[in-house]
Amino acid sequence: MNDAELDTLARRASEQTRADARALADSESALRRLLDAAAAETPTPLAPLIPYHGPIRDVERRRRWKLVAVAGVIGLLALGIVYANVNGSSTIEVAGPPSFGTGTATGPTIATTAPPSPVSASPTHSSVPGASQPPSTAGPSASTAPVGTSPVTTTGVGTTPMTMAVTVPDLGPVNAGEVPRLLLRPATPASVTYAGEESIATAEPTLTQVWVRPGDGRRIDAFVVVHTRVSDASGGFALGAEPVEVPGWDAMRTSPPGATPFTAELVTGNLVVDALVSGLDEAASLATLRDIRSGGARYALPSLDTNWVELPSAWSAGVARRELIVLDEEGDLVWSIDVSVGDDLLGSGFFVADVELELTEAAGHPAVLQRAPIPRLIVLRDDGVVIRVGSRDPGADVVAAADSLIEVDEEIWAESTTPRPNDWVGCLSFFC
Amino acid sequence: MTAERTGTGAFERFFLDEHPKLVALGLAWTGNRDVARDLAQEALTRAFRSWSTVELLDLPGAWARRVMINLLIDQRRRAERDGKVAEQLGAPGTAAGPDVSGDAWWRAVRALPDRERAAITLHYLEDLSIASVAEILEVQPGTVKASLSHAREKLRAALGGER
Repeated sequence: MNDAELDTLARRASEQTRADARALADSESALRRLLDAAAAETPTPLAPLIPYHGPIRDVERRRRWKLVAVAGVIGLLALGIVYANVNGSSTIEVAGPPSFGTGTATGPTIATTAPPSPVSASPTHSSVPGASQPPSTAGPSASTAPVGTSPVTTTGVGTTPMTMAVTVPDLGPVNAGEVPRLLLRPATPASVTYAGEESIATAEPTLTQVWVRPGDGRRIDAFVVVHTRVSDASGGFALGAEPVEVPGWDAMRTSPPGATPFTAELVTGNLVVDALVSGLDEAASLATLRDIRSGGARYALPSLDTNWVELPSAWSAGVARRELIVLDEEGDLVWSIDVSVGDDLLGSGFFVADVELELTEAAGHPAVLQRAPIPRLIVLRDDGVVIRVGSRDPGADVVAAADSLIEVDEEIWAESTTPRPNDWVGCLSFFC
Repeated sequence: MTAERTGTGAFERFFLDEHPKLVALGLAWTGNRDVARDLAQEALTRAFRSWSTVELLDLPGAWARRVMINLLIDQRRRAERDGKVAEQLGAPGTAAGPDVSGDAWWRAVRALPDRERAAITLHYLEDLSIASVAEILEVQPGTVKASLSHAREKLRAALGGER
């Protein structure tokens, strides 16, 4: 069959289907049904196609979700991030209440410093129990003399997930043997407007993870995960999270939960740290995707497990699918991940997300998936690129198909997809 | 696919224009009348709920198609999952309903992976350009071209024997 014959077949079938649909649609009645349902403030009665899977939602969770969302905004973007290069090249302090709009927000301001010499210890920094001292003659300390500011742009509205992506300006070289320190400390609560509602809540970081990667000696890149506790009149609602050790990543330290301020001390040399901020607004789901380049490191990949997990997600229904692409060091496509949101539970506090991972096996990049011990996390790793998909509630229903439902696209996408080496495509996290 | 931005009247015009097209999309995708109508209704219900945003888009119809394709993919995945779970439990699976399309072309299209199926369906059923399909699927035009190329190869192989 040649192309012309195929096209003829396709067009004939399409014409017939369009005609069938016009006869079938009964659009006037369908419209009337929709408008009547809207007028009666009841949902359009649709015949259930599938059994509903998921926990029962209630008003209290909706309220909690809004509080959590606000707390997420406060917790993330009110954090002060202090970066200190122990050899004294510069300090960044990120603080201040964010302002938000749909899609893009101007986030914290970065105060950059000229290289101080020598750096002095900040009395507010707490040490990490058990942390080893960095191999630097300058000592573990941070300078605090800002001389200017650089705006940091964050994208999206800061709901939970609690990951932050902040584009950190180039601070100059990080030399081999240096141990940059990423310090996080909470700022004062701020009032924020989210989804048209103003709310004030106190957010107290409870846990911070810093995932770091080897860099090119110039940038600081890390993946920061912060979970906060919301305090309100009802007595608080905690988000819990346990640190996830990622074998193969450079060692990291986190301060004990509840320590304020707390320090994440990176104990391997030649690291780059970049805090990542990502938020999800109601219209566009993933707001920020970041590529974490491994700098050439390779990690052992576990065997394929399952690609099905039912997760709570803060995505909105409607435009509820995002394609994530992951590029390797050469900018070629390695992964194609298709993530969608399932049932429309927007506003009820939880969302069901179906995550189907279409794994593209490109040459030299085996496609595998690991299911982390905590049911809410799936960690994909290849050449140091980490994509984390998580849910908030470890007790939430997790439905995983016993059999693999993976669709493996065996095409070499690198041939058909324009490499975008400057795109940041990894680091997806979404939590409620 | 654009709609005048004048409130409920605009939505009604949008609905009447888009509904049969979404039903056609669902019918081509699933071969099931009930599923096609239900999902078209769901997609347009979501458009109605988000109309204040959707009507301001340059291409509200593209938004509706994106939602419809998402729903179709989700429905297919759930049907597969429920079928597998039912099989494990020894119970009857969720009935997908009879395939009424009866057309070899669409049967072959339904065997394609989601991305290729979406590209082929939008390209032929709606006579959309590569750029328009890319806009709806939110991928690069090159990706659409590759999808169509690979899909045509598979369809040629599947249908060549039926001729």
